[in-house]
Amino acid sequence: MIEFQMISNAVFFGAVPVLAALYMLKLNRRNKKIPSVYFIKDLVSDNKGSSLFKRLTSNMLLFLEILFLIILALALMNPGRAGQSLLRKKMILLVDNSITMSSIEAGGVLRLSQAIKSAEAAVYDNPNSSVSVIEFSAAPKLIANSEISRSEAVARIRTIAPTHLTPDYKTAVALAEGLCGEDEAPEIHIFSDFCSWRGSGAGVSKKTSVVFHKAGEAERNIGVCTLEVSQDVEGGGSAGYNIFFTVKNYCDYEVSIPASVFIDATRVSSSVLTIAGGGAESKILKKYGSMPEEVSVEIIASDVLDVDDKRVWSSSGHKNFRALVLSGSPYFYKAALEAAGADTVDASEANIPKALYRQREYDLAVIDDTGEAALLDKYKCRSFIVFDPPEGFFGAFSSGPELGVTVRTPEFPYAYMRAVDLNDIYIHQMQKAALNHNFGQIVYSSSAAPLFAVVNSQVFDIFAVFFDPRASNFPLKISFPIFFSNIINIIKSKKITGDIFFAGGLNYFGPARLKPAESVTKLRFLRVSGGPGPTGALPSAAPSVYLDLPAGAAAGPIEAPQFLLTGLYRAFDASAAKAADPLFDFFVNPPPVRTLSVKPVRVSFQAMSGGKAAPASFESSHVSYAAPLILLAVLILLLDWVYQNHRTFYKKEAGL
Amino acid sequence: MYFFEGPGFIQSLDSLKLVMKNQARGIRFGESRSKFFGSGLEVSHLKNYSTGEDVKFIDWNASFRLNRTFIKVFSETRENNVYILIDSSASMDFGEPETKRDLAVKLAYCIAYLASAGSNKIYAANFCDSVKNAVEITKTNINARFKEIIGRAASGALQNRPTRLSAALNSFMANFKRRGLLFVISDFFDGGLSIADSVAKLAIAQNFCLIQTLSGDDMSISDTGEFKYEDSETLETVEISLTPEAAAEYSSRVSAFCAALMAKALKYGGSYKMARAGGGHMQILKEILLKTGFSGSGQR
Repeated sequence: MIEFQMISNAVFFGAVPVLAALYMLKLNRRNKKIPSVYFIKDLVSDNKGSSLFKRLTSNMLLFLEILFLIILALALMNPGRAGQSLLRKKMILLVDNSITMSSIEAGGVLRLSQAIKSAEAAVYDNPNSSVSVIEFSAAPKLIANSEISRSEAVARIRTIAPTHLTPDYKTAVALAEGLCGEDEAPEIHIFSDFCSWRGSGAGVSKKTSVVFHKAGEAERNIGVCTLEVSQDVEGGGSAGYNIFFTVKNYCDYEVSIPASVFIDATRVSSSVLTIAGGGAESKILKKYGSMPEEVSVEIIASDVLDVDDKRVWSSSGHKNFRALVLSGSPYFYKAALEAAGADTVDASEANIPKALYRQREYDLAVIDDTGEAALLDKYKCRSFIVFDPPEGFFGAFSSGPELGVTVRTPEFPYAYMRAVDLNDIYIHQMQKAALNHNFGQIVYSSSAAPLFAVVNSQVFDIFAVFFDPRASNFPLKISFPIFFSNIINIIKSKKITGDIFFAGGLNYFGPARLKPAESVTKLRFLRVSGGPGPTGALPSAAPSVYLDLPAGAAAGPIEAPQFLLTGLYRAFDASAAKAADPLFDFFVNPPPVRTLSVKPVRVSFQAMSGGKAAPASFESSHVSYAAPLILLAVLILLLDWVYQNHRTFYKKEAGL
Repeated sequence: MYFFEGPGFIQSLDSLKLVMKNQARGIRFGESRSKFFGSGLEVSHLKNYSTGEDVKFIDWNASFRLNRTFIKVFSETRENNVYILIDSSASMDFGEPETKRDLAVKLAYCIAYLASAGSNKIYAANFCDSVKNAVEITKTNINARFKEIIGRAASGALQNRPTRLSAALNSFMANFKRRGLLFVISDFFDGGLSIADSVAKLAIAQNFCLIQTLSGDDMSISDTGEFKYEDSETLETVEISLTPEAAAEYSSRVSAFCAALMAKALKYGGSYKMARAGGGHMQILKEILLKTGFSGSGQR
């Protein structure tokens, strides 16, 4: 396929009609008077259809000159074909597999597939260059370095699967530049739809050659942004659940899309949302009397980005919220938990071994026991409230006693401290803890002693309280049940139950979920639907995800492999020799909160060329036809000259 | 000196005779056959003898053979009307060394001279878009009249007036209602080439002969290249790049026009003769008189 590099030189085609017009103007016609022009007129009108051609053929000089000009203009446009470059370059291919690359183009092709195809072509067109491949979305990942063979590089390019993350060009370019030495001049090829491209903000250095390969049309983005299910608490009592979701439209134009809400597999509402363009959003609030098992929101977005067309919220599978209190004096915790909305609260009893409670499944465990706080991993539970944790709890240590502790700032901007008023709290005595990076969302006293904190653990969701409530007036406050209520709501509505999965983040399989796979040692997860593609199946490679399970029954939540795409996944027994029936299904949601900056940007070549951009590198893979065309033009010019003077030549020849 | 004053011109015509086969419609006695019966020389037919009729007209041979008495009926010979229309438009000025006009006037003179020998009534006129200044020609005034005709054409009085054959013939038929023999001498290059349409109308009123005078340049174009042609009559200009193919196409179109004109003339009982300027008038005249001839069947 012929491509034109210097298409702007097409302006020289304008010289052709000018030449013809000048020729015609200059044309010296012989005047002749004849008896009648009737037959001549007849002849002219008869030949009008082919008169230009006849004129050209009868005027060989004009014909040759026009031909010369056309060929010259064509040559100046530098036509050619994309060919194999013989240069030895260091090429770094950056393939974008972010969320917008999951869009389906008008022809039914995944945008990422287009990018992969271009990347493969770039590899084949530069047989002497070394190729490194980086896939990038939120974080770049080197999937092929320059050491590997070209066929291997192509094979790895083909394994790039779409993700549900936003792209970060800056980090990707930084990684690419980091792959090269000081004296090396790499050629970076970015294969992307450039939806989130912000020009020079992408950090392309001036030294680097960057070749931009735009994939797709990049004008279609819309999706469900958030879906929250929360208990509607009014005056301390539960008044049902709020189902709240947001649909955001990143298109340039207004859209009208049907949206349906399903609760426990029943359609409860269908409406058409009309959302203005440019990042406007529409929020829908539904009320539901009891706690739903599963809520899904579905938008029918036939011609827009359909990665975010469905979002599912599901509870832990049982409607009852089960809590455990493990304390020497459990009763005021139990009362507070029951007031906060826990359906079943088990309180430890002195004559029952604590190991028995560890075997039971709970949604939340309140631990006020120095010994048990060190054994959290033995529990079949992943959410804890730990009161007065012991020395060494997640690396925290005590820095001495503190007396008469109060709080100067009454309100704290954390979800678990919402509406908790610490204005007149007073703690007689406590151990001032020194916290490390494992702790976050810390609430400090006026003397900078940490009072409340959240543990940043991959396995657990732990809310720590660093004082003994019995040495304070905290249990006497209204804030006390509110504190529990907040945590229960968080656990109920967020992923802490261990059964809601989010794309691109850390997820855990709760024991209940893994129950059907108790005897299985290895699980295989296959994404079956919910993503891009007419049938939900990915056009591009969607490799199976595997998970090794510990032998025996799962003791607690097990970290799931990272799922990069939303949709319905199905778990199979990978250890079985034959294909078995699926063990269980689960839905991977889009991230709960995402700043999806995918407002389409029209990127022109100039705007994209942050660095020393394309022409030089383009040239290298462009087999030009310009030289033979110029040769042909010169030949025609010579012919023209010969034709003009052929009589003279003839005479000279005759004279000799 | 006019051409007819040249030595031998008149003598060359003495060997020719204009025989008109059409039935004369003249009033006076002449040499042409007419449809009238009476005191002629030629027996038209026989009829039964009626008592009282002149016995000297009895056809004795027929009466004896058929045993009945027949009497000869003679057809009268009367004078014939001969009309000669000479195209005087600007297009007739072409042709080298002899122009079409020269040839046309020569032919007209010859026809008039031959017709006057047979005691016919002869009218000649120039025409462009109408027939004007028709003059009657007799044996005695033929030279003087043709001097007038030639002078009128040369004076430019009729120049720059385009040929309008259709209009000219209409004007002729309005002025000359008596049937006769009409010679139209022209190149027939009028603006719309309307002669073909006028022939049918003409045939009703007259017996006719179309003499098309053409020059060599009319028939074919020898040049090629870029030309700007100007019409000699309408002054209209046409630009054309003439290629050999276009020139050949031109010739074929002119030939086709001439052929169509001849076909039309023959269809309506007239006759047609193409006369090429410079080709010698005598030969053409002989062909007009002998080969083409005039048929009396044009009477309607």
